[in-house]
Amino acid sequence: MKSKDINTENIPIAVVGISHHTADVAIREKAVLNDKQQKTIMNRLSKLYRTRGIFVLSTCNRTEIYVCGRKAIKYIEDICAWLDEFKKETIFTNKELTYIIKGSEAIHHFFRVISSLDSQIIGEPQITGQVKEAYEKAHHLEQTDIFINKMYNFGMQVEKQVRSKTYLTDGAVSVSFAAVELARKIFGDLRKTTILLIGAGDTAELAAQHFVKRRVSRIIITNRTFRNARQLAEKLNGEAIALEKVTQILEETDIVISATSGDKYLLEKRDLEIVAKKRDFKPIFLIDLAIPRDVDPEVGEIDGVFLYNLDALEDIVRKNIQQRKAELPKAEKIVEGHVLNYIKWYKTLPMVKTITQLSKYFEEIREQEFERLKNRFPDSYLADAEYLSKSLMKKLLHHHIMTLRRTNGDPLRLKQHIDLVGEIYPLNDSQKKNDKKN
Amino acid sequence: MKPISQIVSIILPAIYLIAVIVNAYIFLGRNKKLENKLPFIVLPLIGIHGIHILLRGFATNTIPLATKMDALSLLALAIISLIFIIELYSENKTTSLFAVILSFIIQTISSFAYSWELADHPLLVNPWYAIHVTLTVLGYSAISISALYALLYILLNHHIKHHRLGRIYDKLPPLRNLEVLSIRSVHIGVITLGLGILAGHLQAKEVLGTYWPIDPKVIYNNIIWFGYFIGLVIAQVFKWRGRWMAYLAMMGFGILIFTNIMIIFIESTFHQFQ
Repeated sequence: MKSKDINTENIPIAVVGISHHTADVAIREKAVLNDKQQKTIMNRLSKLYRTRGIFVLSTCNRTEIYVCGRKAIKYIEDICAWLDEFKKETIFTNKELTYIIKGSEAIHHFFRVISSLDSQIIGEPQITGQVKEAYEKAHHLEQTDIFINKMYNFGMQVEKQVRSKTYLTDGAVSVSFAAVELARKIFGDLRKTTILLIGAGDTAELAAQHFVKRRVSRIIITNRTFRNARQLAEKLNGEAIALEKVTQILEETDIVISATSGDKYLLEKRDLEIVAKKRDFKPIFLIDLAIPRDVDPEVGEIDGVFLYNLDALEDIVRKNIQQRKAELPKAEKIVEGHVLNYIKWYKTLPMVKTITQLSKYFEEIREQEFERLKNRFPDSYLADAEYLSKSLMKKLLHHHIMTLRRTNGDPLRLKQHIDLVGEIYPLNDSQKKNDKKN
Repeated sequence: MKPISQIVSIILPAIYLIAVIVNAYIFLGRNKKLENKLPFIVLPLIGIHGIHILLRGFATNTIPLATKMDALSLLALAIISLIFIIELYSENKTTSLFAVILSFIIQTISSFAYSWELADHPLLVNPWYAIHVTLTVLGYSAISISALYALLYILLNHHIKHHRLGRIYDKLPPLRNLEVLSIRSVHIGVITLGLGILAGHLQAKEVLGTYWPIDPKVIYNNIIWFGYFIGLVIAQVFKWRGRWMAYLAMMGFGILIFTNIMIIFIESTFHQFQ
């Protein structure tokens, strides 16, 4: 059964937002909400529209506001207008840019967002951390209620299962990360490797940073302009050497990243043949990110040398993106399963409330009667008497609870049972007052 | 007991075949959950094989290492057991497929060539015999595993070099890890095989009155062990590594197998109990 088949519009959650699906970066930039703005929105909207819960997710690819509460959902269009006034832009009232999703569809959307199924790059890892941060901010401001808390908790389970049971988050989807993955496949633990960076531009730096994150043991930078090499070395906590010393240092290097703007080969086959022999054919991995290429392609033929240029790395990225897309059906199934779990949980709420009220009512009576009659028992029998009263109460409650639980799958029968229990027992405060009067 | 043991010895290759198919399905598929459970698919196989060896012992009324085929069977068991232990502590849990294939081949040969009537022999009742055979088989297993990892190294090296980044690339451990596992396995193999051969010489002294019986199997295995030992020393001194070290490991294993197959056809060895 799909969650769409169940009428769950009653779930009091809605989301209003814009994302990379509906708006380009120029619009999304205008919609971004900083920490202070998010705090203001949460505080003001909760007062204006009596939201039970609210949290704001604002990243470079989406800005979404999740609200919980019947009044908030009823006046969601007004909330959009309020947001536009707050931002002094016309974004949230523009139906072509903004989406409003309610009920179980909002839950479904949230689960897809948190598990990166809705991301620009499917399987990207940053979104989970961003959602976690957004939720914690709202929670800290006491702006989350049981519906949002449950949605978030289920969402984290979805994310975990998508990550562990599918290959959706596997495989590099950027050239730099593909290079890191290849290096790991060759060397295993990168903490024992030495990297040589030839070039000090943005491309080289970005690629190097991925390796630095893996805590390589040593990073050496060289560039035609030694000053640039030195600057980058300071930034990356490495060492700078002159370009002329490249061939010497290659003996000690495991990974070479080359990204210069030169028009000749920097590394020729004969250079690497000598290096490979001196390294006793220990593997050396060359990553040529330059166009025109810095490394002679024939270098790849040398034993112990692995050469990958930009095209080869982009092929890997393309293949990985395709493989991630192939995992989408599996991931969507996980999302769907958890939406149904949320709906199941939502449906137990009236039953849970009734059981809680009933238990409380029975306990109150037990306590009252025990206090009234405890003087009839010797002190030594009091503990047993109390135990007896609790045991009796549990036995009497048991059938009520079992019957309510059995009818949980049938909303109509459940409602009938809840109404009947409410008629027989004065469960709410006004009923109790009437009962006392009588 | 004998009929039960005979039935189990025939069923065992079939169970191995099922394990090969299941392992191959998981290796070639894309199910992360099953992949992490691969080593545990081997566990019942280890249990059944262990029971088989015990039943053989009861059926033949000897230590269950009395014949070449028993030793082969123990070799098959030792290979998958060692791989199971290695993969428990490893991030990658996909090399068990190759070990199961190797053990399947060895056990199939063993199961269909068992002898069930064994002559009494003084060597078989000597306790040194169990020590000698166990250590020797462990040594051979470790050397087999070394060759297996060497083969996987060559395979992965080739795939990365030629930009073939398919299933083999995805599923195998890193190149460096394969190299380390291969080298460590051969070290363990040389040590345990050496100790096993030593135990054999000690047993020969007790039973045959000499440390150095003139026997083809004793001579060839001493030569092979010595060859491995020298090979390791030379590789260490000249820092051989990578693809050539892998080829050396496989060549050594090839010579080992070839020599032992040749010995099977030689009648005049006191190792020939059956």
